[in-house]
Amino acid sequence: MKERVSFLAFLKNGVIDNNPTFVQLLGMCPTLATSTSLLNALGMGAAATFVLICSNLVISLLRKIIPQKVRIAAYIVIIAGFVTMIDLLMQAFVPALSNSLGLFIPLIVVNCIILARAESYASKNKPLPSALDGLTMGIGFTLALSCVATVREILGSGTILGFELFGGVAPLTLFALPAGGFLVLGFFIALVQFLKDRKGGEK
Amino acid sequence: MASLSKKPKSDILRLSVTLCLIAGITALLVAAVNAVTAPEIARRGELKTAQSLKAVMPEADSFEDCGYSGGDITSADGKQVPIDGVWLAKSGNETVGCCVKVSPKGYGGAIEIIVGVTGDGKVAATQIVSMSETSGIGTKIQNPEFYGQFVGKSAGIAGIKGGTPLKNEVQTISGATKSSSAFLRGVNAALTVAESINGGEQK
Repeated sequence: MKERVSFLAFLKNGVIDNNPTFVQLLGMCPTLATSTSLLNALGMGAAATFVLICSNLVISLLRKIIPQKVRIAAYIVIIAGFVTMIDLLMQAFVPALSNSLGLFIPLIVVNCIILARAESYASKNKPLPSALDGLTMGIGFTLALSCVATVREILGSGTILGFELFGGVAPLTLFALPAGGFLVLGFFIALVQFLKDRKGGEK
Repeated sequence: MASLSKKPKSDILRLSVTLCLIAGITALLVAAVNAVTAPEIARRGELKTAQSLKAVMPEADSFEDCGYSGGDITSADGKQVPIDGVWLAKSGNETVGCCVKVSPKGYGGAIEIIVGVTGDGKVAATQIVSMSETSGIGTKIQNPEFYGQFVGKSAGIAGIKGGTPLKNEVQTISGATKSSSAFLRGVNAALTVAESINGGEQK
């Protein structure tokens, strides 16, 4: 029972209170680049979540061994290792997704969400909570990415998960472009802030 | 005093040994994953090329790599078009044409295209293997209305922006001039290469 409650607390923290994308504003580059379609967003979210869980777990296990002075270098090596593994696995088993995400999979190495969680959480906490933190932050990232991607895919390409929606009506290409990405992201951040503010006011 | 001068030295040793260990173990794990995925990735690559070859030359039942070594082709507008491979398309023992893989530079990087050329130097079909053009704009080169124009055309195809295309002209896509011109350059380069190959075969 206790474990379940704490998992929910983690989930709430990762998805709502400290959502990596909408609240911490981390990982903006992959958010804008891979949110052109829902499938890309889910693929990117899954890959980042995998890396987050693994790197948080390993960094937490090694937190007493890694010397303070070279910790960032050690984190990057560990993260890069996992990213390379998931990149190779995706190329081998889901080549279509790997093609459409292209460069953004290797770029997970420098995704600030992952380094931020390693530095601010995994390096100070036990392995299990760290892995949980990675999982819930990953879910938060995936959900945020999916929200932006859903709006962008419907408006920008007139499809959802590749299915035609409006029967050939020309889509608003702007939303498939980076400018549209910024617009949609901005509105989502505003919405999340508005909801958080309103909740705070009622207290 | 002795211990003071000794400490930084051992500290540096400790830092480097730990970092080396972490990097070493990570490298071993990545190597293990690579060993599992490398054959699969290679197999997928070959399969994809084979499928694309078959798609642009359906009447051929075997393809023979000619080991092209003529280097890049310079297009009419002075740009270099790399040639990635040339295959002779054979039906039984008879050569029915050839396939040329080109990678002209588009708006978002190289566009890999396989062009099937018939024995009399006309475009049989084209197939885009990979590209990273802007989603919704440059990706319009995947529309049959665009690439379909090339079928039956012979070397020296010209691109026009508007009006009705003449015998050996195609209409580029307005708004996606860079991507569609790159495609045009690629097809022309493929035709140039095919001319030399087909010509050599007949002699």
